[in-house]
Amino acid sequence: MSTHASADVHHHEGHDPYLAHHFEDRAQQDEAHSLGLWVFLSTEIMFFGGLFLAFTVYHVLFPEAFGLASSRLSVSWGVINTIVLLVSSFTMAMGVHSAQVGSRKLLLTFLSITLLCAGAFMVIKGIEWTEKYHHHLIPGASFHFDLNDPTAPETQLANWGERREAILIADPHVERHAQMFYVMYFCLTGLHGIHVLIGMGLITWMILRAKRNEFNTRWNTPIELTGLYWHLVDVIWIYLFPLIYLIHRH
Amino acid sequence: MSDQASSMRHTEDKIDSTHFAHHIISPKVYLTVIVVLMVLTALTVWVAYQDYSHAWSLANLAIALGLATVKATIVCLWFMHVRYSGRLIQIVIAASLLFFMLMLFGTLMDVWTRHNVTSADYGSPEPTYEQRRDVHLPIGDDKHSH
Amino acid sequence: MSAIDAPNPYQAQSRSSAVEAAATFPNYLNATGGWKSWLFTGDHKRIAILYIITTTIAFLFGGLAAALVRLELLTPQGDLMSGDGYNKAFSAHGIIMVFMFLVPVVPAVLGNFLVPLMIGAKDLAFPKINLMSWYLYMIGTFFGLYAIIAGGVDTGWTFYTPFSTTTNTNVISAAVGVFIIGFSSIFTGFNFIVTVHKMRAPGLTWFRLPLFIWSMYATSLIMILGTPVIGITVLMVAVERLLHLGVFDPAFGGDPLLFQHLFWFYSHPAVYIMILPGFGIISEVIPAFARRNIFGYSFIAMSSLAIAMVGFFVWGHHLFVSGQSAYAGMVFSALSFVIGVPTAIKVFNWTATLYKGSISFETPMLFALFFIGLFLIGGLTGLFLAAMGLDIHLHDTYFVVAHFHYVMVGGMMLAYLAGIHYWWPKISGRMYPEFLGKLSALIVFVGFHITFFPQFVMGYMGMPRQYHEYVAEFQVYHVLSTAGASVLGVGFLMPVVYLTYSWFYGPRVNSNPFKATGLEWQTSSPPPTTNFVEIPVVTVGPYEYADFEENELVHAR
Repeated sequence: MSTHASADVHHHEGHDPYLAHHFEDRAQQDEAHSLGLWVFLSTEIMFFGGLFLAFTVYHVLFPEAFGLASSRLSVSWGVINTIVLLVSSFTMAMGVHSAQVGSRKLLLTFLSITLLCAGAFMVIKGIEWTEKYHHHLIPGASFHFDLNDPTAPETQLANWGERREAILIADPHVERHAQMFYVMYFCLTGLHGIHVLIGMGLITWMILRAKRNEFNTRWNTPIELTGLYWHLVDVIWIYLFPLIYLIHRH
Repeated sequence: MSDQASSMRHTEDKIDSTHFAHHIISPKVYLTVIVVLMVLTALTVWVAYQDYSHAWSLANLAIALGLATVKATIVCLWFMHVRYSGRLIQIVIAASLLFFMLMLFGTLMDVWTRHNVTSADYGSPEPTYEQRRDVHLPIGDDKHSH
Repeated sequence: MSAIDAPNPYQAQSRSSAVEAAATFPNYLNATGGWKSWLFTGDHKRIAILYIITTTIAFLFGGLAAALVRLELLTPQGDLMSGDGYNKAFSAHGIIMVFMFLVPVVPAVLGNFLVPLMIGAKDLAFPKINLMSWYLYMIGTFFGLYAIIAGGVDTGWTFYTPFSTTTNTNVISAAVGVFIIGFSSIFTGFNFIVTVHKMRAPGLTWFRLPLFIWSMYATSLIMILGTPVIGITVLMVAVERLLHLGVFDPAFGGDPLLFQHLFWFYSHPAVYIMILPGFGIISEVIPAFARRNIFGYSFIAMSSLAIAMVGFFVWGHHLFVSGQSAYAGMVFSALSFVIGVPTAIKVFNWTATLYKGSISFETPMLFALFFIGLFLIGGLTGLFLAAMGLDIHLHDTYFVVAHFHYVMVGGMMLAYLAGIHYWWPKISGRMYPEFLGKLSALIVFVGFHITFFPQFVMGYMGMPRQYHEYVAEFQVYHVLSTAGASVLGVGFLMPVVYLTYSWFYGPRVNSNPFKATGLEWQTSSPPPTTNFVEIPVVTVGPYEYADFEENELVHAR
């Protein structure tokens, strides 16, 4: 008897070819895979949770700085990216559906659209990060955040002089604390971006496997699991979008 | 394994059943869901520009997070099929959210009641970046000079 | 397939025929050969063996660092090492022992080996991920050891900022090591959770599960909920060091206390990752050698879950004197007392199990009984430290060092040794030498007390931890401690030597040498690759020793 798991997975005479040797039946295997992925997603929630906690603590400590720094982000890019990611989530769900009903052509179409959306999301993130670079908003020695910058959106406000004084009284180091917002911004969007890239890798792999005709109505677990992962990436963005872009817009 | 034994495995506790692979949701439902998500996104942006801070200073944040939670729940329930999954998976999600909240509020319990953190309270400002650089306090380049 | 796998678990076997069969029966050790069959195995039992070897090596490295620390402290002057050298030595000891030994050892060795066997499954739910977790452990350990050997780390195992982001030692590679080992631990925990939920044998309901499985399940919950947080935390430290961003740096408005919150949100529950598996082992060993059903099964099972849960509520007691708000400190202090309740429930139930039992003092039982005594001292001194006022006096003294060594070494190490002796016949198919086993248990127990009891005394008198020099008044305690450490070292080395000998030359055993209940004893020793010839059907609870004894009597007549 081989101890190679890979050798055991698919080749048991007279057995379901999709049943690994250590499971009793397909129901048990499917439930184990699904539960496994959900447990993994819960570790992802705690993983991002640490960063969300850091963001929240610094937001509580430096509300003025976070409000100012956040208002220098571009809401329109944020909205576009949200829409792109939501659409990709929809097409992913449709891809899973296509796999379940056994339509290989639709599966490939929907997976490709999802991949395109994911790519678009990363391109837009790249544009945003480049803008930050040009505005000297990358944390580090070159970081420069100026309350008197005439091109900044908040300085266009009618009562800006008054608000500026109020902000400086509340937090005299607001310009330095604004850097903390960008540290958190890059950590959160960076980690999220890494997850998008991993998701793109998984979707590409699924496309290749679908092209090899590996999936059918009886075997589509990998597509379902990839879908679950991709939806989680979407859910995290659903929280990131208002927290990063929309605080203190009023 | 006998048939009887096999049925025992699947009936002994309902909490373990996930019914994962067996439910197919109609594309119409997915279409409805994505439309609702788009509407909620528009609502989130619109609400963010309204000023409710005269009523409660955290109102805008609370509304934004509330709407995000509604959206995330919709994604979970339909796109991620949680509505059709067993209780076990719902417990897994609830547990991770519970422990995240625990971490968040346990830490905030300290941050909210710790009054000596910002330098403004002490009256003595923290050293600026330039001051730290001038007196060679560790800010960067000299960290790895061994 | 063989007489070994008698369908009735309580049927007594004739020793000689069973032993003969064991020598020829195909098992997981002789099923396939060659190094590839080990390094690419999916078999949970072989992965457990890989872990035994690697964690033992890590333990020897950590022990070496401890020996250096104790030698330096023999005299009040710093004559063996400089202050920097000493910092690196105790950091190496802490990092190796915590992340590379204590956290992985019982889940990865005994858990890996026993979880599928105890629940009547052929393997863990995800064999490839299980193998991957070993490789991650190896890669992480490589990074950690590289950091320690190539110049060292002087932050202690806690990596407190802002020191860890400004010191010029190898913090980054150590942090990367911790991050990767963390993922190894997540994968182990996640495998166990799915396996326990989905792979139990027919009839094995939750309240028929062995208590070891309950404690492994509770441990896994902590692993998957806590470990990601330490991952992201050390990642932030690495980012701060590499990119010079002020994530936790007060100069940029960063909050070092936030680091401590994040760090201890994992690392306090992590001490329960280290001790809960030990509880599970003791809950198996005590009934087996007292020949009694465990007292208060459901209380012990639920207290494991309660410890996993409440363990997440108390992390703030590590921040009492760090500048945390007094209000938060008060809440965390009160919650820290709460965790004493489920822990005490366990100790009471083990003791009650012994009452009126037919106790025999084999090596595993000796280790288990010593465990209860040492853990009791470790646990109760924890209550001293949980009291916020008293902690102002005791924090950062040798009292704390003694407390957690009583729990981690006196508790966890003794439980691990109890477990490794108890299941050694199952793992290797051979018996350990009984006399040497008892002797090493005694040496460990005596050596342990000589090492760490003086530390309570000098800590209470004010000897601070993490100093390589000290005032001469404390020397007598340090000399005692170092002398005890040498005895302890002998006690720990003995099992390494005689178990290695036994692996090759020990006498072969039948499937159930201790006449214990539990599914793992119903298959041959060592078990076949798929664990059971036929998946067992379970109809009774895990500790029906009364039935077992009765059955023996019937057969004797």
